[in-house]
Amino acid sequence: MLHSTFGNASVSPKYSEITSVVGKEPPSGLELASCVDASQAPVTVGCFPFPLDPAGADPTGVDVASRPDVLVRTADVGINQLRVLPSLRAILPVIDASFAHGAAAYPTDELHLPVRSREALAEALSELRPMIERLRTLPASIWASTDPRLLLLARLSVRERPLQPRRDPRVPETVRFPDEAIFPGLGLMAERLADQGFLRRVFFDRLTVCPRCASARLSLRELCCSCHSADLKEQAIIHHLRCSAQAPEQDFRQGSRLVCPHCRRDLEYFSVDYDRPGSVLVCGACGHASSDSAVGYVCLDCAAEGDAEQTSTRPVWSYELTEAGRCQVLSGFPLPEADGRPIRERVAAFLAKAKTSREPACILVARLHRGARPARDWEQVCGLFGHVFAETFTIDTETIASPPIFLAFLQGDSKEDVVAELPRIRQALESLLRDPPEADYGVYGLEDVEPLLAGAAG
Amino acid sequence: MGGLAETLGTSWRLLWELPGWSVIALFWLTFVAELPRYFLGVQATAAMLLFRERRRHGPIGPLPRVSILLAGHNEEDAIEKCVRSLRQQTFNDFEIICVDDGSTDATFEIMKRLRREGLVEAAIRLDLRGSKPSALNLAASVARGDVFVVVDCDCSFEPNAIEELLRPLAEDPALAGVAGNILVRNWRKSIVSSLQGIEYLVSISLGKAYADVLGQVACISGAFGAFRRRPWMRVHGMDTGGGEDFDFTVRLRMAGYKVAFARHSICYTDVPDTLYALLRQRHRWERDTFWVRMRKYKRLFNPFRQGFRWTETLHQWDFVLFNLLPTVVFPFYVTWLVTTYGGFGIVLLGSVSIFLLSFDVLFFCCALLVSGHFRYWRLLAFVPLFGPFQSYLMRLDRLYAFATEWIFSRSLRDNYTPQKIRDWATWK
Ligand SMILES: [Zn+2]
Ligand SMILES: [Zn+2]
Ligand SMILES: [Zn+2]
Repeated sequence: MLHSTFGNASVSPKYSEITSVVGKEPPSGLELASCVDASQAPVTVGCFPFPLDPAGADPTGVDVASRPDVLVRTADVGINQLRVLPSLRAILPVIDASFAHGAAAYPTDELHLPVRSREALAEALSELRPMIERLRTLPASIWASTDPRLLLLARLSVRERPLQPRRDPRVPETVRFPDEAIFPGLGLMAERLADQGFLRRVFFDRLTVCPRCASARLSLRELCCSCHSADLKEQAIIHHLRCSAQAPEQDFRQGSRLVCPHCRRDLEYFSVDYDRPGSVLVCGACGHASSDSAVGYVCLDCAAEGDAEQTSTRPVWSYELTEAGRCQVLSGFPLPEADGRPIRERVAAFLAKAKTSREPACILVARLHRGARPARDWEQVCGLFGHVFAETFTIDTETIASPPIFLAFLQGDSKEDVVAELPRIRQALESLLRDPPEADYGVYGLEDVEPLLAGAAG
Repeated sequence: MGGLAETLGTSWRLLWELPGWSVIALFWLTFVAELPRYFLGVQATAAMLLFRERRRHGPIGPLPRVSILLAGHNEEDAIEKCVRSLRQQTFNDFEIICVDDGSTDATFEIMKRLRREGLVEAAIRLDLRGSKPSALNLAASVARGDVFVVVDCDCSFEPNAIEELLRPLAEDPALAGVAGNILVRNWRKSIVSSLQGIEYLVSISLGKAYADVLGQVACISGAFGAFRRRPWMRVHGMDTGGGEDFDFTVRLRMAGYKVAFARHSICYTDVPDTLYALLRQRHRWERDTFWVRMRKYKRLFNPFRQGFRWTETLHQWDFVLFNLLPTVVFPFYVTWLVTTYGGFGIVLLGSVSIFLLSFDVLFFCCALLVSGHFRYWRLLAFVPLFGPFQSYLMRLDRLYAFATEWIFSRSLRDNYTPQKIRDWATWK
């Protein structure tokens, strides 16, 4: 434990609070100074890489009481390589003092020290002070929790910031959450928390993605609408006013001169002899000419090619903590189980429930066919269908919308009843849609559910 | 009533007492202009009915690639319907090239959508409005077919119209162009359009069929016709200056090409339904005709010119004898008749009209037979109006057009006038 005084005038003494160090001793030049400021509790700093447990036997052995307030990275080691409690990893702010790869190397770090000095560190700590105050108010149960969802909420709550995606051309999705380094599978987790009301989706961007591999690393370019070559060149249209010959420039071009292909006269004066009333895109591959062009994509990841209209789009959200999410963190209660369990689990749960109740039960499955619908239209149709689908059944009927598949768990109805009712159900569904999609319907009795489970998994 | 009967009686006696030469003097216009027209028409019909070609059905023979050229200016209401109806044709192995000639409405957006749907091969946008012939030239320059079909956006077609239009080209490799048969779509709209319904039947269905028998089809309408690429390119495409379709056909013929009329290939067009609109339209047409015939191709009258072709000279003289001359002389004739004979002159004109009416009826029935579109029989009720309508109203309008063209536009049509100014006149 190091104590020294901090007499530097450039740092307000109020914030240059002093610090106890857990674990490894800081490298020279970063001696942690202690400035006695009675109004503030001292900050505990953990410098890593460290064995928090000096014996190094139990990586999570550090007890919550002796946890540091801040972690300082002193060497080029990723946070995931730290053998600490998941809560520490998720919640504690990190100051990067490794000077290893610059700011880009550790995107989850809160601050990067510009120079190796006590002053810099003290300033960083004072900047992090509000965050430290907040994390000190977290209930003990949070520190003991291993539920990544709860820890994610706590992380956002302490930092008072949304979960913000960042553009990253190195991943096929082209955006990712920096926090994913700490929470693997963060995207899905955030979606479920949003469904449960703990996070609020805020629109970030919409990605155009490859219909085959969902990569957003697509190259879009204009194509010849006849042969789909990208070898297009824009050419002026020339109108010879005198003889009303009108054609793309190449028909007129003879070296540096323009000669009318019809009357063989030289075209000399623009707007007297001739006009350029428009332009065409001429294909170098097949010679086709048109003022408009097709737009095609090529996927940089799987090399799939096609018409841009066949691509799908996917919204990307950032997520804000809702009031419910904040309460959850402050209470420290465990999170309820999400209903975003995979379809498979929910089917299995329904099956178990139906078996115990001894009532007849079955599952109605609708599968929509996209056909040639453009992506936006398709999303709209799926959304609308899901809405109508859920409203078609009684209010306590559990339904799942997982486009293009929609399920309804029908308790109390036998398969035969539902099959007989199917035309009516179908009609009711489709009468509410202006442009109903093509759909298959299937009814599965309890004895059929096993193959369905296999299907849903696949 | 008694007075009228008396006048008629006197007139009748007077007519018989006149010496033979003066009867001819009285009726010379009828003898020179109208009778031959009717006579020839009836002959034509008879010829058509007698030597009626054994109409061929079934798919047409192998054809080179076909391109349909569609040029339009502010055609957002018509273009889509036109393209879709073309794609419904019995023969639809063709590409469609659309040119938007400087529209200010959504024409190009619609063309692009049709292109994305694959109904159209190319959609070309001109920001500056040119003229219809130059837009067609552009379409032809990017088209890849060896046969060009030119249609107007606001036409509709019989399902087999394109097939029938191309049939002569498939059968006769020497043909350079084929004119389609054009009928009136809005013939029930007003009396004016009904009268034009009769006129189109008589002058196109029957008149062109007759001209075709004689090898005298002088105009392939820009509203509906087909051309082979090679002749099109050889005569350097369409020219601007009004009457471009007629001018183009004449150039094809002068270059030695044959053109034909396909009477089973039927398209429908809307005609002006008010008298004012009709007179304006005809005024433009007649001026263009006059300009092309009497100025641009004046040399065709000369039988001693180089490369003389009697077929070209024939249709020029036909125009002068049966069109220009009666038009110019008619008002003088009527004036002379009325001033010389007073009331008797009017009775005379009336009886000539009644006499000609019987021909009109016969003529109309023949046209109906030749066209094969019997639903136009209702127009029979308007046939009595058709004669006076043609002889007086249309003839006066034509005279006015010829006169204005003769007097005023010598310089405007001059080849050294910047074409830009002229172009504006040629879109409606
Ligand atoms: Zn191409
Ligand atoms: Zn030229
Ligand atoms: Zn891909």
